[in-house]
Amino acid sequence: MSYQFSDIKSLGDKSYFGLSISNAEGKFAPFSRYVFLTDYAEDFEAVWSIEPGGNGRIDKDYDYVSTNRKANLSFKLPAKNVAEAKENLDFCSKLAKTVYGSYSREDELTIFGNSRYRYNGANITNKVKFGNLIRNELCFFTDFSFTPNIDAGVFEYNGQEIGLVGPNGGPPRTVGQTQTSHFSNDKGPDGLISETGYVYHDNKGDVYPKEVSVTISVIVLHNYPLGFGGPRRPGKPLKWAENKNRDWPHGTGPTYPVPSYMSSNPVPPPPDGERRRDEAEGVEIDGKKYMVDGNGNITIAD
Amino acid sequence: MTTPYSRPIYIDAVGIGGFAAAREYILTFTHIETGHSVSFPAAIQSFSDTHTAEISDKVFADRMDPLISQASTGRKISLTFKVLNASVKEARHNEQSINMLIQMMYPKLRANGKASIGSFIKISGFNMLKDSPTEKSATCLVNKINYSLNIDEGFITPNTEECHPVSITINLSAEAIVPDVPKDSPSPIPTNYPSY
Repeated sequence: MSYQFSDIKSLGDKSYFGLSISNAEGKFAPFSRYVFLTDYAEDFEAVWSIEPGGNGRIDKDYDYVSTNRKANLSFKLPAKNVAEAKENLDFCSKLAKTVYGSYSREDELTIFGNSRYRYNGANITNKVKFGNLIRNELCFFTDFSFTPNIDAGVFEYNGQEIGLVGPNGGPPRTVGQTQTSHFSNDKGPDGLISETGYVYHDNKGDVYPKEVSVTISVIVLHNYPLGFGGPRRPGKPLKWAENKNRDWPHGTGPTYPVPSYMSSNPVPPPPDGERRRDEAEGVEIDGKKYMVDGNGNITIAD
Repeated sequence: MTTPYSRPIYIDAVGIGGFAAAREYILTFTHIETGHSVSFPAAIQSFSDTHTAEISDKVFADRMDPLISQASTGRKISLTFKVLNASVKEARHNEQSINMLIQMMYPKLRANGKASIGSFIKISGFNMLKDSPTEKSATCLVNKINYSLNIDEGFITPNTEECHPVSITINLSAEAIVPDVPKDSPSPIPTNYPSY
């Protein structure tokens, strides 16, 4: 986890979970941060194909299609010093990137000599971990909204020079340069600068917000069966299909027992020479073949 | 497991459960296809029941009033209730209960993993949502469940990977299904349908 103000970090380490983003294919380094949650909601939408009946018919024909899970998170990222404000912006930059599609560069150039890119489709390999609410699930990011709260104030540049000469005999350093240097080299209660003392920076023309509001929306994708019965529950049509002895969708801790219909059963291996259809064939999405292995985990075929 | 799982409300000395049980203010959701059921104290925040005639109307020159042909009548339900947690144990119990309600939005699966059949959900325990004066329940097609944390009311955090809000709002949007009628009924709409 990147730098966060020590009070927030120690409180988070003791009592809370951060928002962590990673990529199942390792396209970027995982990043996470403790956030100040302001809103959290999930929608579970059942999609039914509803055929209208004839005139006067009481009920229509309802055909179940699927159920979709969407989550919306809003949170604030406050900053008590310049370093934290910069880290907040860096976190937001990384989050914003997740909304964009997946591209790869082709060897061949365009007729103008520019690189040619291939669109690989939606970015569906990002994973979100947010404690017991979103438990390291694959997520497609549909929205990212970033709003610096200007009224909360900003950290500004300070070009006022200190003394007559610099540390190495050069021109004197500015307040912003001095605070940035001290914070990098010797911060702390007994150091050259305290955590709350870093309030000016040395990037002329830039301001760093003291508070940022962020909203993200994701569609949660599940790489295991959802429903009752199914291939992992042979002969047990009333039990939850995942068969992992864990709560779903939200966790209740490692020690709290799961209800009996969620408890796991050993799954008999398929007969020799036979594999389940999903294992054998896999599913192709955006040019990649997703296979389900014997443990029910999704793998991406080369 | 051959019998459906029935999950009761959580009752202790301090939570809302005892109060709800004493007055039978209990909302119960039953997944029709599996028979699983889950109950919550009926801390209902809002409810609306809208009956809409589905019509196509046409107008003609020099003819007053439209010509109406009615296909059917739809009944849309919106129900919002709160789930309140006064202890870690109650929070975990309620989280599993909400999980179960959410799971009811999912179908029964075939052996190959494909959806076999979606399920209607029977909602019982609220006297203004019932199919008849004697049947205090209504069978619905639930389109959407919204699970929303009431952040300002605080959290219970038993460990670093677990966080339960003190208050959760659940909103359901559903279409009510008209119940079957006896063979000798004069109308396909039950005599006392709907009842409030």
